[in-house]
Amino acid sequence: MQHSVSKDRFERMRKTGSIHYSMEIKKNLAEIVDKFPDNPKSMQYFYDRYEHFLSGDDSSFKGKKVVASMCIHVPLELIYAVGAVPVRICAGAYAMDQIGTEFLPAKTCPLVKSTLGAIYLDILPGNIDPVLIVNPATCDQKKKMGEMGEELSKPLYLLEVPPTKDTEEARRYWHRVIKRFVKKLESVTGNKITRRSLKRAIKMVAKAQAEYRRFNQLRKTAPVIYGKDAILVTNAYFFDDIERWTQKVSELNDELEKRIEQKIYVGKPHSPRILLTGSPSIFPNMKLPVLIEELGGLVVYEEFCSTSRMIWDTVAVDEWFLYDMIPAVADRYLKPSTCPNFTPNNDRKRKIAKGIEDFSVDGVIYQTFSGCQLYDMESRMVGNFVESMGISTLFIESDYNPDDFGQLTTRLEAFLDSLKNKK
Amino acid sequence: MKNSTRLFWYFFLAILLASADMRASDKPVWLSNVPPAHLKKSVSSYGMHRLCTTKRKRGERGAIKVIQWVREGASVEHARYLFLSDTAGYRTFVFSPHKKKVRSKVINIKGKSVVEYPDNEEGYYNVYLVMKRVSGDTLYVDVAKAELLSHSCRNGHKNVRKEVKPKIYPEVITFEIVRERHLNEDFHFFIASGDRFTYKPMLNGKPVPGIPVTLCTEKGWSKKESTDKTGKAEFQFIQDYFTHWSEMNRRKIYYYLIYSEFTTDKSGKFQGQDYRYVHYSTSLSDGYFPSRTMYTSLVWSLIVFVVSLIVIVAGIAIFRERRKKPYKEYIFDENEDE
Amino acid sequence: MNNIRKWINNANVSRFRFWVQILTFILFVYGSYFLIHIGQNLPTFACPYNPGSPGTCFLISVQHQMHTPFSSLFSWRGLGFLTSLGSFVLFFVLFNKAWCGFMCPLGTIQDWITKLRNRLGIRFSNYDERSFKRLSWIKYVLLVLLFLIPLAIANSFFGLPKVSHNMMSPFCQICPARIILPLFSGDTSQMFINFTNTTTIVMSSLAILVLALFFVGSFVKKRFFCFFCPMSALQYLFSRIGILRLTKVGDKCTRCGNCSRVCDMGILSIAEDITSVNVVTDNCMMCFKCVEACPEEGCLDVKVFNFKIFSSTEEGFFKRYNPDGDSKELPPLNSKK
Repeated sequence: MQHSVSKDRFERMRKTGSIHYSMEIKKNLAEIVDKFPDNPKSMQYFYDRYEHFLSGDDSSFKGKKVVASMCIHVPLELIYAVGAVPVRICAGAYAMDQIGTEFLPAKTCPLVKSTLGAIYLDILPGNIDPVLIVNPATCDQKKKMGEMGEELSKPLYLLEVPPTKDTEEARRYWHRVIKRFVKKLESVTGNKITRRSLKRAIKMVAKAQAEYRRFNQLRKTAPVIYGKDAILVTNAYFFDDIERWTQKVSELNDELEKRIEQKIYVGKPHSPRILLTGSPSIFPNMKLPVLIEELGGLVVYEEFCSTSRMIWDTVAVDEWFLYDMIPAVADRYLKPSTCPNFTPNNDRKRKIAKGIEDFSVDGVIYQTFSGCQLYDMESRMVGNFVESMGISTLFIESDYNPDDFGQLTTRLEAFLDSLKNKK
Repeated sequence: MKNSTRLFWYFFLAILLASADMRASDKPVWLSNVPPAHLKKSVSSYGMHRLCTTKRKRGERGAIKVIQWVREGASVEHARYLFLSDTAGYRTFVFSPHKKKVRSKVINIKGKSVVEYPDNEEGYYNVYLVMKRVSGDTLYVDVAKAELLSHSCRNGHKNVRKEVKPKIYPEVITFEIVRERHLNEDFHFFIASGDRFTYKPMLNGKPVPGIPVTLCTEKGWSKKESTDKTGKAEFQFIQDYFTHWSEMNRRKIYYYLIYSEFTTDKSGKFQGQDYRYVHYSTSLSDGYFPSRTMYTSLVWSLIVFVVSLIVIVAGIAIFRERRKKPYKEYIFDENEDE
Repeated sequence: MNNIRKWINNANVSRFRFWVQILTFILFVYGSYFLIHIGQNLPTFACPYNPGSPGTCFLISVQHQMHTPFSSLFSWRGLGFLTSLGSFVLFFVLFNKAWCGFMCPLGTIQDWITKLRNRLGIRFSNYDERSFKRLSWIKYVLLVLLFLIPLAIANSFFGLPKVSHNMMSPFCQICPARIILPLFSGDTSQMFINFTNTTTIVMSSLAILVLALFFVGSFVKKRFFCFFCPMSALQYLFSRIGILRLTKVGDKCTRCGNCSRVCDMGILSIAEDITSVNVVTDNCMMCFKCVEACPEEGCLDVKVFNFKIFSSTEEGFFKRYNPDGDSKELPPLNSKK
C-alpha cells in the first residue's frame, strides 16, 4: 500500500462508500424494474433480494461460515460439503470501483477494482464476513489483485488455475490444487468433508442446474422474459440461498410456461435477437442489457461468466466415494469452462455458435471492459468466427462509469437498426 | 526198456503233449494295430485312434482300408506276427456300426497276414478273426477281436450314447469279450492309465462266471482275474513304464491285450474229426493313453497363483503408499569430466 | 411414440445392462445344460473347456483352422475359414461391440468384481494418457500371434523350423477364461501346470500368471482384461459395419468430460473428439454409460442403422442423477454439519 490509512478515514470511506453503493443499487434497480412493463410476478422475489443486497438480514447465512469466491472456477459443491456457504463477491458497483482505483492502476479492469474496493471496505453482498476469500489465479488482474488483498490483511487464498485445460498435466495439476483446497476448507471451517455431505451438495447444485436448464429451454421456445431479468436471476445465484433460489426459479419457470401458453411475450415481434458476450454484466452494472432492451432489442442469450458459464455444466460421478467425487467436481470446473483465461479457447467459439443456432440470434454484442486484456484479445477471434456465420457483431468497450450512456446509446441504436433492416 | 530210454520217451511224450497244447493259454491270438518294425513304412495311419491302414496311392479314392495285424503271444511288445496259410482254418467277420456285415479279407503284406476291411462309417467297427482246429480230442476255437472307433468331427456327434454301446454277435461269434462302457464315453474317448474297466467274456451271448481273464500292458505287466458270478472282471490300468523327459508325450498310445479262455465238455464233429472238449479263447486289444493327470499338477499351479497374487497385490499397495509422499525432484549430474 | 421414446431416454441403462449380463452369463456358461447350441464362431468368450458351454468362441476356430499347411489353406480349406469368418461377422454385426459390454461372460465377471471393490470402498486405478496409448497395442499383437503361431506350426516360414506342436492353440493356453469358466460348472481341472516339457511348463505357468493378473487387475481397474483382449481387437476391425451404432454430434458437445469420466475403459477420445461421428474406438465396449452421463440434448446417440433408440437427454441425465428423486438418496438436513 502506498500510504497507511488512519482508522478515522477508513470509517469515513466506509460510510460514504456504502451510501454511494446503496444509492447506485436503488437507481439501477429502479431502471431495471420500472422502465419495463409486464415483468413476471415471480421476479418480484429477485427484485426484493437485490433491494436488500447489502443488508445482511438473510437468515439463511446465520450460524454458517461463509467462503467468498470469485470467478467460476471455485467449486461450490465442496464449499457446501464442509458446511460453509459460498458467496461470489465479483462486484459491479461504480462506487467500489472508485475506491479500488486507489490501489490499482487506472487502466485495470473495473470488475477487479470494484471487487477489491468492496473487500477493502468490507461492503460485501449480504454483509457477510467471510472466513476465506478464494482468489483463482485466472487473469492477470485477478492474480495481482489478490496480492493487494493480502496486504489488506484479508484472508485470501490463491487457487491455482492452470493456463490450459487440454493437457493431462493441467488436469492432474488441477486435481491436486483442488485437493489442497479441500484441506484448506476443512481447516478453516473445522468440519471434515464426508461422502454424505458431498453427495448431498452435488445433488443440491444439480437440482439448481436442472432448474436453470429448464429456464433456458423456456427462453429458447419463446421470448417471454427480458434478458435483463434473466441476468438478474442468474446473478442472484451468486449470493442467494441455493435451495430457496432453486424454488423461486422453479416458480418463475412455471409462470413463464403459463406465459407461453397464453402467448404473452416481451418486446416487439421484430425485435432483433441479441447474444451478449464478453466481460460480464454484474448487478448493479446492468447498463448494457438494459440499454439494449430499452432501445428495442431483446437479449435472448448471454455467454457471460456470470450467467450460463457458471451454472450450465453438470457433475457426473461414477462411484460415490470421495476419491471419485472430488475429481469429478474438479473436472466440471475446469473442462467445460470457456473462460478466455485458457488457451486455446475453441470451446468458446463452439458455445457461441451453439447459442446463435439454438436461439436464432440476429446479432452479437461483445462487451469488453477497458483494461480487460483477455476479452479484448479474444474479440478478434470471436468476431471473425461470428462473421463467418453471417451474423454481425458490435464491439463495445465500456466500464462502470455511468457517464457514457450517450455514446453507447448512439452506437447501439445504429446497430439495432441495421439488424432490423436485415430482417 | 532201459531207464534212460524210458525217460527219453516220457520226455518226448511230454514235449509232444506240450506241443499239442502249443496254442494254449499263454499264446493267445490277437489283432493288433501296430505294424512290425520293418514294415512300418509300408503302411500309414488314420484318424484319431491312429488306425493302421494300407498306403493309398496318389489320387486313389474310396473308403479307407483299415488293416489289423494278426499276432500271437501274450507279450504286447514282442508277440510274433503270424502268417496265416490258406490251409489254416480261419474266417474273418467285420461288422459295421449299424450291425451290417462288411466285406473283409485276410491279405498278405510282405509275408505277414492282416485283416482288411473298408471303413466308411462313423462308430465302432467290430472285427473278428475266428480260427478253429481240432487237436487231440479238443476243438480249439480262438476268436481275436478288435473294436475300432472310426470318427471325424466334421461328421458331427449325433446319438453318441447309443453309438458307443458295445455290440455282440452271438449267432456268428460264439465266444467274445466285451468292454463295459463308462458313463461319459463319447467319440473322443480314450482309456488312460489309472482308469478302471470291467470286461465281460460272453459265450453265446451269456456271461460266464468263474473263468480267468488276463490283462497285459505294453511293457509287460500282466494281471489275471477271475470273473465273478455276474461274469465280470474289473481291472485297473497301471503305469508300467517311465520314459525319458525328452520322449514324454501325453498323446502317445500304448497298447494292451485282454484275453480269456476256458475249456468245456462238449462233443461234436468238426471237419471230419471228433472232439470231446471245446477250448474257447478270445482276445481284445486296444490302446490307452498315459495317465490324465500324470504330467499336470494342480498343487503347483495353486502355488504359482497364490504367489503371483501376493506379489501383484503387494506391488499395487506399495505403489499406492508411495504415491502419498511428496513429489520427487529431478537431479542432474553436476560432474564435468575434465 | 414420443412417450415411449421419453421413457427409454430416461431409463437407467446400467441397471438394464446388469440384468442382461446375468441372463447372458447363464446362457454362455450353462447353455448346453439347457441343450442350447449356438455355434462355433461366437464373438464372445464361450469356452468349450467348460462342459456347459453352448458354443465355442471364434478364436478357437481361428487357431484350429490356421493350423493347416499353406497348400490347403489357399485352396478349398481356406474357403472353410472364410465361411466361419462370415458367420462370425454375421453374429457380430447384430450388436456391434455391445457383445463385449452386455454379453461376454468374462466381462460380466469383471463387472461383478468391480462391484465388490466398490462395496469395499477401495479406490480404482486409471491409466494415464501415455500408458493408455501404449498398452492398447498389446491386444493387436496377441491377435496377430494367434493367427501366426498355428500357421507356423503347420508350415515353415522362410525356411525356419516349424514351431513345436506344444504351442497349439497358443491363446487358449494362456486364456483365463479356460480356467475360470469351467469353475462355474464345478470343474477345477483346467488349473494345472503341465510338466511334459519346457514349452508346456512355460505356457501353463504363464496361464496361471495371467489368471492372477486377471483377478487383481480387474479388482483395481475396471474391465482390466478387456484392454488386452484379442477378441476386442478382432471385433474392432468389423465395427464400422455394425448395425448398432454409437454416434456423436460434435457441435453439441461442451467438452465437459462427463462421458470419459464414467467410462469403465477410461476412453478420453469420447470427450475430446468433436469431429468424428462414429465414436466407437477399439477399447469401447458399448456399455452406454457415456450416453447416460451426457447432459446435452441429443449429443450422444445409440442407433440401429440410422434410427435412434437411445439418446442423451437433459431430463434423462437429471433423472438418473436424481436431484428431485427419492428422499432415500439425500441424507436429512440435520446430519449436515
